[in-house]
Amino acid sequence: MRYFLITAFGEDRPGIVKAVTEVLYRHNFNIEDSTMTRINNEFAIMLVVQADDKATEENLIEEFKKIEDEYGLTISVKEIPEEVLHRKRPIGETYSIVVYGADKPGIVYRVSKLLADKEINISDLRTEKTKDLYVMVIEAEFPEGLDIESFKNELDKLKKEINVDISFEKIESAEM
Amino acid sequence: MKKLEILRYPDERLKIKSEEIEVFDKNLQEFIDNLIYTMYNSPAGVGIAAPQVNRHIRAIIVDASNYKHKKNKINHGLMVLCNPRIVDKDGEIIIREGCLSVPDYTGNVKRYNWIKVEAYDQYGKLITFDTEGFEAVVIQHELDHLEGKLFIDRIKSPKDLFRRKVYKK
Repeated sequence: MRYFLITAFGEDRPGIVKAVTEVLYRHNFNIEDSTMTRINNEFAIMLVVQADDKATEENLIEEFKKIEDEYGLTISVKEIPEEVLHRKRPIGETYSIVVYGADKPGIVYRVSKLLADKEINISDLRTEKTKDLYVMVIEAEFPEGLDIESFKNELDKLKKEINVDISFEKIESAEM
Repeated sequence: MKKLEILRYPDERLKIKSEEIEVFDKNLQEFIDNLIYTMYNSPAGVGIAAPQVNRHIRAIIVDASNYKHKKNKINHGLMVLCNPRIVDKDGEIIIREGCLSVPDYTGNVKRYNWIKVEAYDQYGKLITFDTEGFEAVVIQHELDHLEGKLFIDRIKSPKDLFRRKVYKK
């Protein structure tokens, strides 16, 4: 089995998901993971497929050519070595971090820099923006042994510096 | 006491609607004991419903005290609820729920924040109480199991369903 990361984007319209997944379906490729969403007026697809051993980046790109033209899409294909796909990094706990405030350049950079300095790994990040309010929601994996108190202090400092609100909490679920 | 095998989705038996309990006998009490034992022997287990172990009768076990949660302010400890019914309800609450029968996912589900419940204990004695917050959520989650419903059925947006990504060493 071989694995490929496929990205596709283009101006939003009905049929984009159908067009991309039809190619995969025809080859009996299985979608392992995907995110597909409209971002501004572009529709963006990221997905990982499991393909057979004969599949290559080149022939997949060739396959997508037709729908690229027909749907106005830009499509890329990258092979993921299987050992990368299944590599599991030990992590401590998963947290959600919510940042909001008046929009200004640099919010994502300043927050993500603090996280990077602490070896905190972002697994999901979304931002939303209306006229007055900018909101960023992050799901992040904290390394084991991270000093939460000192992280909190640094967040508080950053909050004042860039004048936003930041809160974070551990993501937990009870089993029912 | 023994730990019962928990059915996992896509097992179709999780989708069967459970029957009212009519006889509160030794057989039932023995089963309830095993069900309690099974819940306590599952990590972070705060509730379990009989159909999760392939007994399609309307019995659920709840122990909200078995878990620390910021919305877990009041709880009644261990409760056995047979033929439970919600007779009144109010408000809204969203908590990230996990399920012993859907181990790979968690989800944010909207529930009533306050509920009034009527049920019978394992000896057939009527119990009436009201509760709110976390315990109310657990009870509603378990009641869904009695109807053959899973929390995934109540997910409204892809942003509310999460694959567990925590890889422990």
